Amino acid sequence: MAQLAARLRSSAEIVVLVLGPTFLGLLAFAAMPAMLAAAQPLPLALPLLVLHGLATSLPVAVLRPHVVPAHVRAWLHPLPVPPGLLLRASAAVAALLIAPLALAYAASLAVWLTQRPGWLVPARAVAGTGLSLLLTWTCATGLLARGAGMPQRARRAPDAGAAATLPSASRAGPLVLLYWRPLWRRGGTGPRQCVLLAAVAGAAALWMTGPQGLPRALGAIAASALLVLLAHDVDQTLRTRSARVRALAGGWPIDVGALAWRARGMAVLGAMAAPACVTVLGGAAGTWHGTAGRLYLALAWSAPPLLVLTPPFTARGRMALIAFAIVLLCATGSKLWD
Amino acid sequence: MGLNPSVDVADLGFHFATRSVFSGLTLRFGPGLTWLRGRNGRGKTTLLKLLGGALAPSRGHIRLDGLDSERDALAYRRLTFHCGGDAPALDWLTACEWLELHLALYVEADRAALGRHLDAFHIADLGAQPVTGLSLGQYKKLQLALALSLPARLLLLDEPFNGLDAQAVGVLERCVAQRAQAGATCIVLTSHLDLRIAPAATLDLDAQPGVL
Repeated sequence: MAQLAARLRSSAEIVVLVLGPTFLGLLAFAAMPAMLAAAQPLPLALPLLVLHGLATSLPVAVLRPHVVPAHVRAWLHPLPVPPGLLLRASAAVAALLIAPLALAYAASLAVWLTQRPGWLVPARAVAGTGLSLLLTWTCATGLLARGAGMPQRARRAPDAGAAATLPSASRAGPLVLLYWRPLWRRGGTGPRQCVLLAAVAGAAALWMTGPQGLPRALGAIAASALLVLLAHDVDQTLRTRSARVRALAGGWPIDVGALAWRARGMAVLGAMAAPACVTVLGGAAGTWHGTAGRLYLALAWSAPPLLVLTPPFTARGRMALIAFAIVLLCATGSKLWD
Repeated sequence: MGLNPSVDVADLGFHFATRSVFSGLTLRFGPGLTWLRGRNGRGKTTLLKLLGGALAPSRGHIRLDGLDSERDALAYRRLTFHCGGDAPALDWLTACEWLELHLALYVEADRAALGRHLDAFHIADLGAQPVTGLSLGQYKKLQLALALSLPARLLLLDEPFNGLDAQAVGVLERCVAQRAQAGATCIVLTSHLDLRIAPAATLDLDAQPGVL
């Protein structure tokens, strides 16, 4: 959490500059589902609010392994921690996790109570939002207490069977074994990057087909942002992996620098799949004929190598580069259909 | 592979961020088995890592048959293998892939000998298991089987008997004795247990000038 906070602090001004207006707009809608539910007749309102409270506590289930990691659970379990203390500690941590949501609800309530639209019943809106938040906090506390109190169950691994330890004559090289295989093993980033690539293709398809009711600019923004985020993810994975390999390979008879450059080449090729998708889909829709189209293509094809091949600078500089690439691509992309 | 390899350590200095380990350490290792002894924390493992090229000296030099561990790093490391006591670090690989990687790194490894050592250690059928899923002894055997099948001129064995079953200890002692007798390898071995094989030399770091 401290690292995340430090990272956010170090690039706060960039995040605020790029995402500030969107964030403020979205913030106003934070408490809207609860307020809308509270405006319904009571027999309908209560189950809806319960459902809302439960649903908003779900992210805590995702965050739980980071808040109470498996190795902490392993040493926490044998300690003689009284259940009451564990529950109080979980409630305090849950309150910290829920605090940003509470602030968002407060801001949202303030906005809507000031606006006073016809459907809003002020007292019920406040009570309903409060009830939903209380339920979220209770569920979050329960999830954390349950997670901290028990060691992680060992999952039965699929039977590996007996396989020869001595590898066959056909050998994979260090590049494959040190950089490619980890993408697909034990929480590697390969599947996430595939999802991001599919999302780029989906957003680009929406952008090019322009379905009724969906502004084309929205597709352009989504495709452009996802394209840069995919390149950033590939780059981050590569840098983390290279640092790990460098630390491990101290005594190995291998030129680690040259290996890292080959890995960069592999990463750039992988990240280029996103602009390739956009190019093909746009080509089929006849998008790239004007100056803006050609400029967009040039930017889209240069973003991944730019991110992967440039030095990391500082965390703040990196964030600025990514934000700049997203803004530039979004601006050019949204002008294509003017 | 020629006979009589030698390792020269001259004026070696090494410091961790929190403490100095060696200053002006000068040693010479000859062919055969050298038993490296010393109390906990005297720098046995650090010395083996320096000899293996995994750590870089802050002063002085280490030479194997004239090859400098820093200037001729790749050539030096091709002739050296460090079998350490650390937990498996390549946690995404299976045992078979772990060997595959090392066979790609040390292309002159004797695959037939590796197969024989895997059989002798009773770990010939663990290929599909992740290296992190191996027990301490199994991982140690995997490292040792590889180490013994490499044409290394300098073989560094850090507490090799830790975690091994009695049968594997016997296999290791036999292999190390044969290798030492051949005279083509410097074997530097640390062990807190008394050795049942006669070392060609014993080096006690507790009494060694240059060890801080």
